[in-house]
Amino acid sequence: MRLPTQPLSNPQRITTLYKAWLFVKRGWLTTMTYRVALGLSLISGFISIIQFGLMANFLSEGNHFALLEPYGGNLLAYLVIGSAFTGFVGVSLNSFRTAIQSEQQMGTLEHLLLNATPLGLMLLYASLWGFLNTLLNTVILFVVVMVILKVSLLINWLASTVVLALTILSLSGIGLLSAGCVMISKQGDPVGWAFTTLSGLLSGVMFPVEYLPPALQSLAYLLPTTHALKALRLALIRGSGLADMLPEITFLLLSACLTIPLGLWFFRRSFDHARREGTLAEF
Amino acid sequence: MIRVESLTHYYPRRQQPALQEITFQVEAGQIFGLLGPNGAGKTTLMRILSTLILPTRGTASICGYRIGHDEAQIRQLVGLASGSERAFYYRLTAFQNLQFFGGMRGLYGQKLRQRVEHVLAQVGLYEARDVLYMRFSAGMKRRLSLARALLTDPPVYLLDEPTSGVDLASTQRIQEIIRALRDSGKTILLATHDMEEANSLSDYIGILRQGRLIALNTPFNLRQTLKSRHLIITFDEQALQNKQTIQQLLSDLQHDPRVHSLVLGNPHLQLQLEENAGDIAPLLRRVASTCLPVRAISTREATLQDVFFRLTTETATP
Repeated sequence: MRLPTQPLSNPQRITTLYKAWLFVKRGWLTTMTYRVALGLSLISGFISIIQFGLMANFLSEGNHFALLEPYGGNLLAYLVIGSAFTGFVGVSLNSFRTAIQSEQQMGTLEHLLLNATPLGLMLLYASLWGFLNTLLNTVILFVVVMVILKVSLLINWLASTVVLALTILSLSGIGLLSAGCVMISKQGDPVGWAFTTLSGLLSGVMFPVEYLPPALQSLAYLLPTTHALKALRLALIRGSGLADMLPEITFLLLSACLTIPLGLWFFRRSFDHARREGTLAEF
Repeated sequence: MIRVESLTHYYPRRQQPALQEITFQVEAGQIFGLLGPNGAGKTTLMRILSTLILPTRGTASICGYRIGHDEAQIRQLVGLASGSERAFYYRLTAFQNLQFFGGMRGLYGQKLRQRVEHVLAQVGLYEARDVLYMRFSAGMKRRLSLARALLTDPPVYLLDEPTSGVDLASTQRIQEIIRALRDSGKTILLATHDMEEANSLSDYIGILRQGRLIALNTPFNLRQTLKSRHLIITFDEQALQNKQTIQQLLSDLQHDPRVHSLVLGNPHLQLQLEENAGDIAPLLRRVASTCLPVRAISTREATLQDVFFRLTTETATP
């Protein structure tokens, strides 16, 4: 059959980056309309850093933490990295799910899907602003920690970037599983809930994994967040290179290879399920 | 352009199908009006054709591309204006919203900006381009929804109640745009509750009831299917105060075999006559016998609304 007038758009010519930029711009514009909330969140960030600083100074005074030695021994640096990392874990796990839920609540999800962009890419675009926002907050946090609280970090930029990227990748697979759950259940998300709770408790966010009972330590080492956090601390506090964290990087890579295809497959299935039931836009 | 064949859709946990064996086609340069009571399946059909719902059975295609198989292509060829007000980002302006959705559909740079400005002007929202969507009135929201559908100038439009809740001026503007689209060779599926709109815009009309397409024809032919006329008697306003006489008249007319149904307004009495009513002189004599003062008597042919009511109420299953 002969095709009619071609539409104006030319998807082959449009760059992926431009669409990604549109999502980032949308996030920025929306955030800028909530100026009070933005200001309050920045103030909250500063207050929490001061809290960390005071608490770390109080606990460190006259004390030595043997378990922190592999990470440079500085309690404040240990806690701040744990806290910042939690933000990335949260955004990696939840950004796809929250992006979908937000579009459903706005009523824009269906219109967003009415273009030729592959579903996986759309999800990635929709979560970009969340990642950038968290990254920006983390950078501010680290600047404050280094400049005001005078904590010395020997940052290995290459290793930190690689570990962070691998962390986001490996957790994004689980984030896709979580988004798939929300497509079906609309609110309940057992995958995200279980993973957030377990990683917060067992991954060494606030205390080293070695402090846990042996049985829980075994469980902790099954979580990619445990390996990611260890590698990130080494790269940020001690300036360790990629060679020094090979086991952690291998684990993260294997996790990403396993969870991303599984997450994509599950999300696709959930998406088609919602389309058959006509519940794409329901929340 | 749009071909639908034996399309059936069941929502889970519902016994009645949302759509049942729907078959029709719409060619380029045609408007297909889709009528039906609430819950008849209009929106489900729209959403299937825009690839948002996977049908249970049957086939549908847009410009030769099949639903369920060639969805990326179909999404490029279809412009959807949904009936929902919640379909834009509330904290972005009209321009920012359209720029975002236009970008998602493959427009960019100068071309995108020009196109956004063009469609905003087309729907009469250019002056409101920098107003946040949350400040828009219902009519402005509908027009922006149509503007989004127009962005990529697609060959097929799915318009779900585009004038619902819109004031007269906005309605006229939207209808003018729809006519212009048809005249430029676009294919349009128009779901509406407005009979006058369907009658004046549509080349063909399909009436859905409980998921079934119970009628499909041109507006003229549909009106012809109901051969009965309407007899309209306009009384003097004082006449209706004579309640006892009026009640007796209504009772007599209701039992008259020439009368299908009747509606008493103020000051009109409207009788829908049976198709084989024949001579209506006895009816007029009965009215005259009441000695109630009559200001005018007129007849009219069946309208699309009469056909719609007849089809969607009388044949309805309990």
